[in-house]
Formats: sequence, C-alpha cells, structure tokens
Amino acid sequence: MKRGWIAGLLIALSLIAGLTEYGYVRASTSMYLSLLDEAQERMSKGEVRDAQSTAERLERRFEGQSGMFNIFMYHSEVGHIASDLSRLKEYARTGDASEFLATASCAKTEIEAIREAKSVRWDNIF
Amino acid sequence: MLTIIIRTVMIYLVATVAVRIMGKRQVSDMQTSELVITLIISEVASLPLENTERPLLNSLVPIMMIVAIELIVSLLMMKSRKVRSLICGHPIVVIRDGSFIDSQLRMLRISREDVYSLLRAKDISDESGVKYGIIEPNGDLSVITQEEQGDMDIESKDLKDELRKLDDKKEEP
Repeated sequence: MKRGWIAGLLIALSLIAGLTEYGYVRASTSMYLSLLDEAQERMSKGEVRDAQSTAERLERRFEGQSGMFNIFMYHSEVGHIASDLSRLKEYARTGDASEFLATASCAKTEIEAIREAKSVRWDNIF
Repeated sequence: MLTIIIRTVMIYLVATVAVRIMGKRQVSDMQTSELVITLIISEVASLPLENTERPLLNSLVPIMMIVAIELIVSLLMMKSRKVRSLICGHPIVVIRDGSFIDSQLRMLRISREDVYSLLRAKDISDESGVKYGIIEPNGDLSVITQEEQGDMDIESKDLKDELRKLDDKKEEP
C-alpha cells in the first residue's frame, strides 16, 4: 500500500502543477488581453497619453510576472511578448498610432496562442 | 551553462528517485513495460538539458505521472493475474516431457535452434531430459528437468493454466 500512497502523492503533485499552470496562465492572459484591448481603443480614439499609460502599466506588470511565466512557458514565448510590450510603450510615446495598433495586435495574437495552447482540448492533446 | 549545470543535477536527482521508487531491475530482467517506461523517462528527462528554453516542469510532471502510473499498474498486477497477464504476458511452455511444442515456438516466432542456444547456456545439451521448458515473460528460458520434477505436481498457477491450455488444444479435433 505504500506504493499506492506514493502514486497518489505524485498524481496530486502533478495535478497541482497542472491546475496551477492552467489557472495562472488563464487569469493572466485574460488580464493582458483586456489591457491590450483598452490600449488599442484609447489609441484609436486618439487618447495617446492614456494609451501610453496603459502600455506602461502592461509592460510593468509583465516584467513583474515574467518569472512565473518562465516556469510555465517557453522562454522565447515570454521574450516575444516582452519585446512587443516594450515596443508598444515606445510607439505610444512617439504617437505612432498605426505601429502601436499593429504591435498590440501581434501581442494579442501571441497571448491568445499561449492561452489556447494551455487549454485542455482534444486538438492540444493530440 | 550554469543553468544547464543546475538543471542536470536536478534532473539526475529526480530520475534517480523515480527509478528508485519503481524498484528497477537490470535491463535484462525487465518486463517489456518496465523497459519502455525507463526509456521514456530517460528521453523526457533529457529534454530540458538539450533546450534551456523549455520549462523544467515540462519534464518533471511527466516523470512524476509515469512513475505514479507504473506504481498503480504494478499494484494492480500484484492483485490481479488477469492484469499481469495482459501487461506482462504469461509464461509459454515450449518443451514438455522431452519434446518441443512447435505450435508454441511458432507463436513466439522463435526456432528450435534459439531454444537449444538457451539450453546450452544452462549446460543442457538437448531437450530430452527436460520435463518443462518455459519461456518467461521477460524472454528467459526456465528449465525444469525430469530429475528435479519427478512425480511432484506443479505448484505454480501460471504454469498449471498454461499446461491446461495445452491439454485442451491437444483434445480439440
């Protein structure tokens, strides 16, 4: 029966790791997607300062969470998003709306792809 | 490089603990499923060493799950002969009362020469003095000679079932 307990413990640890990753990535990506939507909306309306502050907020948050993301995701994925968010801030500072909106779309696509990749779906399983 | 060094130590410890928990035997004594699992663990364990971009959890969690599944399967195999037979197979009698059973050899896709080779490794020159020659699930040949067995009954359930199946096959028209 000792083996049974060890097996149960290992399964529990695996499930904790899996559910933690799922929950964390899901919650974080939702937050970043809504912030990116907000930034795009503000830039589209010409509210450049507001768009810039949203972009800065995005970059700061992502920097703070990148350690956790690196535990769950490929480092290159995290790096691409960090790079996009950094450029977003610069485009907002220079008032380059078209580049801002394009970069925000890229960042959204990458974040959505990560969110989908971490979902429990048949196409991900196979 | 420092990351790889630390990862190597961690993976080594995890893989050692995993193999220790599973109670591995030598490669030659392993069941097929055990060999497959050992190969999978070694492959999965090496992935974060090859690619430092890959999160360590992507290897640790599969290793933990594989060990857990192996422990559960081994528990089930202990409790159920059917499960054991399904996963490991069962012993196959290839020599009985000094004669080869060719149908069993064909089923195993081995020749008489292969069995002679295994007999010679046990210092037995041919099948004539062999009461039972049994190919075990791990591929080894077990030999019970006429002298050893004498008139005693077979105690092993696996072997009894196998002999009963052979007797049933003989009786079929």
